[in-house]
Amino acid sequence: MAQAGAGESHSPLAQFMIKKIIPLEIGGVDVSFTNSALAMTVAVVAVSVFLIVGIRRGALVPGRWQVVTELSYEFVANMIRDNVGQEGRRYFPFIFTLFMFIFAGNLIGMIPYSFTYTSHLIVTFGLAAVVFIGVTIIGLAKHGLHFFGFFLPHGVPWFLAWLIIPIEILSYLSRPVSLSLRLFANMTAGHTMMKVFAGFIFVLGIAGVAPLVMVVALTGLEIIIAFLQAYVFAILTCVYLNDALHLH
Amino acid sequence: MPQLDPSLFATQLFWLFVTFLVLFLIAWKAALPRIADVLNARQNRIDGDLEKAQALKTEAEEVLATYERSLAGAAVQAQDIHREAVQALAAERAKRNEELSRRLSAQTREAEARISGEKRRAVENIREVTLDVVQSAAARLIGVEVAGADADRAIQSALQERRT
Repeated sequence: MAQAGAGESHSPLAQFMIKKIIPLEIGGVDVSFTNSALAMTVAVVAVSVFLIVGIRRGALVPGRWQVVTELSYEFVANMIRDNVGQEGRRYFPFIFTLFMFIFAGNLIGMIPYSFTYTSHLIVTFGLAAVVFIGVTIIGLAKHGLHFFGFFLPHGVPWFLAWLIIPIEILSYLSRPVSLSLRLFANMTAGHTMMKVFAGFIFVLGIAGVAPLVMVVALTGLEIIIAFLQAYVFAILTCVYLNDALHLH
Repeated sequence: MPQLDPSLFATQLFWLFVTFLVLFLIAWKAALPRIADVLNARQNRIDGDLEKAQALKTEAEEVLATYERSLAGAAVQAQDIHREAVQALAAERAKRNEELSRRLSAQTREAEARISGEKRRAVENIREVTLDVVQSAAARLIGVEVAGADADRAIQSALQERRT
């Protein structure tokens, strides 16, 4: 667990340890620059370089890098157009940043000895809370008190309202929880599993080829999951945004 | 699990907020507008090219239509010329045929007139010869000089009898 000593540093969970790099304190609150913050900074720099250098020449016929940059743009733009519609264009920069930030975090986590900030529940919950609060504010601003009609879908008989309304409120409130838990659990489980298999390689000697093959396969799977979870997070954000803009 | 250590929540949320905000501002203000510009420029270029291609296609179709119209006009003209030539030839032939038949019938008439003239002359010659023969035969056989008028009358009546 968290209180792992030097002897336990090969525990599968050691990779999730947060280490302070630059101790820092603001108003009595510990905001040290940690390996997690470093990974986030690397992600921001990497995504910025990917976008800005990729599009720098703005060629009419794009090169390989520019194609990928444009592809990321169009991927998120299409996702919003399909799931939210024209009104979603205003929120494109936020959803694009969200997708790229999570995707970059997941991919950086695939580099050995690096740190996966999306495997920390507080980070994914922070992102999910921003989405949840933002979407709720958007819904209230657009529909006023009609927004609460969201909790009683059309066509529900009045005598079922006492049952439906609590269920709808509960499902609405559980959105940030499921959103953050899904990403956190996928990342944590995947990385822990890889570490467990990797731990067997040297212990088993020649038979360690089997877990090695497994780790190679898992690496491929994890890269797919890195993309898939970023996609799921972004598309669910789109779905919630669509609900807030158009209600049911 | 290190993930559940609350003492590290503040720093993670703080740096999450800072880095996410920085990335958001970079994407919002710098990167995404630039990408949108490039994509729009390309889309405009493609649309423009398509439009140009469409215009050229329309123009080509117009030229083709003009060409086909003039071709059809020329065909009609050629038919007219051909028909006129055929008509002129037919008229010429009819005129010549008529002229030829007129000339032939004139010659036929002339020939017939000549033939009937010759016939009449021959018949008259025969009467004179018959008269001579009758007179000299009568003188030789019965020694009577038959007057020319009498002999002529006798021949006439004999011819009458033979005819009836």
